[in-house]
Amino acid sequence: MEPKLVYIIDDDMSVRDALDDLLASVDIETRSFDSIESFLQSEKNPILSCLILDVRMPGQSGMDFQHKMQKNGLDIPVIFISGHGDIPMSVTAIKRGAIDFLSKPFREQDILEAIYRGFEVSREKIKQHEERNHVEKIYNSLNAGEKAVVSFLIKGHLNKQIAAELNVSEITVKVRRANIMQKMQVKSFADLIRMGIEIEKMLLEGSLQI
Amino acid sequence: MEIAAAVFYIAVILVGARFISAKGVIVLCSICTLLTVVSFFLTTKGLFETGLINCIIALSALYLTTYIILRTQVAENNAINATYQMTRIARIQSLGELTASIAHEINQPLAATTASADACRNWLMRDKPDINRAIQALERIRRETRRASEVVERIRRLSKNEITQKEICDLNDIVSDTLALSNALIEHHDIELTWNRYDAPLIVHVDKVQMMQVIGNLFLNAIEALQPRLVTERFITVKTFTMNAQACFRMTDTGVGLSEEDIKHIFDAFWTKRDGGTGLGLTLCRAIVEAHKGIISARQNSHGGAIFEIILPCKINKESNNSGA
Ligand SMILES: Nc1ncnc2c1ncn2[C@@H]1O[C@H](COP(=O)(O)OP(=O)(O)OP(=O)(O)O)[C@@H](O)[C@H]1O
Repeated sequence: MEPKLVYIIDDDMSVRDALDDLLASVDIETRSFDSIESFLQSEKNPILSCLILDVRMPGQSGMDFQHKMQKNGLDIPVIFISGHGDIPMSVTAIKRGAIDFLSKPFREQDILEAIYRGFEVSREKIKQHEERNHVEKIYNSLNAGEKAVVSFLIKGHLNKQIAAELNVSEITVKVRRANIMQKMQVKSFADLIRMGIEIEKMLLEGSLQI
Repeated sequence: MEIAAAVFYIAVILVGARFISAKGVIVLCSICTLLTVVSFFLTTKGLFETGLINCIIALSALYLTTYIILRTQVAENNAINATYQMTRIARIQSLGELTASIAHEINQPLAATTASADACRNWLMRDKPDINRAIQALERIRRETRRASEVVERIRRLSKNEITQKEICDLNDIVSDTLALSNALIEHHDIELTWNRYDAPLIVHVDKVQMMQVIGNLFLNAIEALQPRLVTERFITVKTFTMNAQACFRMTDTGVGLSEEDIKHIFDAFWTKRDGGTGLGLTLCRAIVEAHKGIISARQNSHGGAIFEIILPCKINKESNNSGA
């Protein structure tokens, strides 16, 4: 079974303990925190995980934290719990990508379902993340000349056009293309383009530098 | 000439003041001023000086009237506001906030309790039941239920802090005093009030202020029930009488009335059909009446509208056993 982890942030010790125990009783590993700060200071493993977060935390509201988390690249699916049952707040939370918004007291079934949905989302995110890391690594292994060729290939230019644009011979372009295919470990031109599109997306987002 | 016109303007303002707001009165006054000045310049006949003096006198009269009217309106508004405040029971501005924080205080231990109960069951239902952890969960449940009941106890203590001061008094006087306080409201809402006072004292042992709050609240509800535009007959009838040696109070209105469903829930806490209503008014009414060993009831009037009735134990007047219902 792949390792899974649920983070819990709630300033109420009893709620924290009870949740810990409930999840332990169905063999889900947990790590709980009494504040957002202590959660931030803790080490996080890149495994399947989700975060159960109380909406109202002293110092910082859970809602604000969720918002900031995404910006800071801490991409863990969030399940909100609240003692207030605030409906407008839950709408905002869901719109911002929270897995669920549960009012205290919540039903076991509801929280477990939310957690498993959270794991699914987490799995997707991890996969995406790995793919991107892979692309990034490969892209960075290309030299400047090869990178230039890739950028034209994505745009659908022919070897001849690329040679003219870069002011090199067509042979050089062909050699670079072969190198690129090899470094990128792709078999077909179609695969190369697919990866190229991902690269272009990351370049636009700024998560990759030329 | 200007003086005659001014008298006419003053009449306009006096009549207008009955129907329009303070702002409207000021606008009206400005228009009248303009008209007076214009008419002064248009009137070429007669001496200029006499005309000027007349004009000044006319304007002074106009402003004086307007000023008095505005002052009266402010005073009336104050009276109406004071009545609202006096009769509205425990109307806490931030009641929403208060209930939210109470809900939170109770939901925390409830969440811990239900989660622990689920955990406890899970530990016991395992292939190899983990008795120790199940017991730990049970301990937590006990702790958390105690915590919840402490919250409830704290709230109860809070509400008990109000001291009741019971005294021997005449129910008729309590009703009269409350209605007198509400005079401004009745006029403001154009309601016809009939007060059928029982012709002998109805001696009860009650906290007078609390009873006034109860009756005042019933009265405010009746006024609110008469608000909708479709209600054309605006009558409230108040009556005191005795029945089985008990002091009785009955308020009948010709308002929107009560459905079967309304009657079932009307005394429930937080049950309201009114925007911005707390739904606590009648709940508190019943709490107060029952604390006085009385009974409060609501029913639909067969002619439309609602009937509210309060029955209180009579203190001494037991001999007057005639049914005046
Ligand atoms: N005389 C009446 N005729 C018709 N409906 C009434 C009458 N009195 C009360 N009600 C109904 O009962 C509901 C509950 O009344 P209650 O006094 O408990 O609360 P409220 O008036 O809504 O709120 P608040 O106490 O904050 O004013 C009202 O919303 C209204 O719909």
